[in-house]
Amino acid sequence: MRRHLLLGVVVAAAVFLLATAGGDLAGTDGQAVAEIEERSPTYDRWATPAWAPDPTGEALLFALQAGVGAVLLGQYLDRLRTSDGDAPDA
Amino acid sequence: MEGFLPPIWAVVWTVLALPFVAYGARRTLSAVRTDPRTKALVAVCAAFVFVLSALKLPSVAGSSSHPTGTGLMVVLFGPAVTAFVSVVVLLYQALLLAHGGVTTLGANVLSMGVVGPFVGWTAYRFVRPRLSLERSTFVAAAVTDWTTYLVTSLQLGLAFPAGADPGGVLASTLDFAAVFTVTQLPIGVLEGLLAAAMVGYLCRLDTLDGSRLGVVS
Repeated sequence: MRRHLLLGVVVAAAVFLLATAGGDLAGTDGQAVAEIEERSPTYDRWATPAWAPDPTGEALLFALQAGVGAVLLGQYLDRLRTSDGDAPDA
Repeated sequence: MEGFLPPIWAVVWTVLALPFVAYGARRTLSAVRTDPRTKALVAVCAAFVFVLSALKLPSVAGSSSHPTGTGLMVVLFGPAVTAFVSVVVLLYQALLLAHGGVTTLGANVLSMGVVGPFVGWTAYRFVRPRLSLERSTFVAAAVTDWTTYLVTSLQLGLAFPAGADPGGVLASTLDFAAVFTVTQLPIGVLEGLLAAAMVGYLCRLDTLDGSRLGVVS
């Protein structure tokens, strides 16, 4: 279990660094929005997110998502390595 | 993208996606209940989607985008289960990250969870008799990724056509596709490589009961 948590932390840190390092790169979502605004300048955006994190918070939440995924991945791969796939001793 | 899909299209894509998600939920539940190994395999595939779709990858032309991560699940469990899992990931990103969106959830589920995986799965079926498991998985994952973004382009093209005729939709779709494709082409290749490596690893673990999962003929 401790191994998997460590894996999760490492993956989360890597994803965080990747997301912050690529911060000034234009995301394709943003590029698509620019394309929409150029095409339909009068388009009335009828909904906005109730809550949006700042860039650092966004990177942290992506890191959390990847970290949780990595912990689960490690844990269930371990179960597959045991013969029947049931929870191992840990 | 929240609010950037006109309400009528938000409704259309949501209604179209719903039956696939409902069917996928049933298939996922029955897969999880089959036996512990299948359950663990579902979890591995879902976790793989979670990790990969969290990556914000720099790509060519100074832009960045996300892998879909769905290729592995498409190969091992088919498009229906993938539809259900993609809802979970897309909801997380819509609610917590303001990424994607609730009003665009139906459209995103249809592209990332339904059409992309279905086309990728069809490609897999087509190449599997000719190619090894790893290579077929590479094809499935890359095609799934690219198709996902092509469908997104078509959805945006339909909502914001360049003209009133079908030609206007096509022209607009190609414009949006140009935005995504440059970034997504290398990401699709990377995704293919990762999914192929993962499926190879699972094979070496001797976890894939081929006949049941339709992996090995």
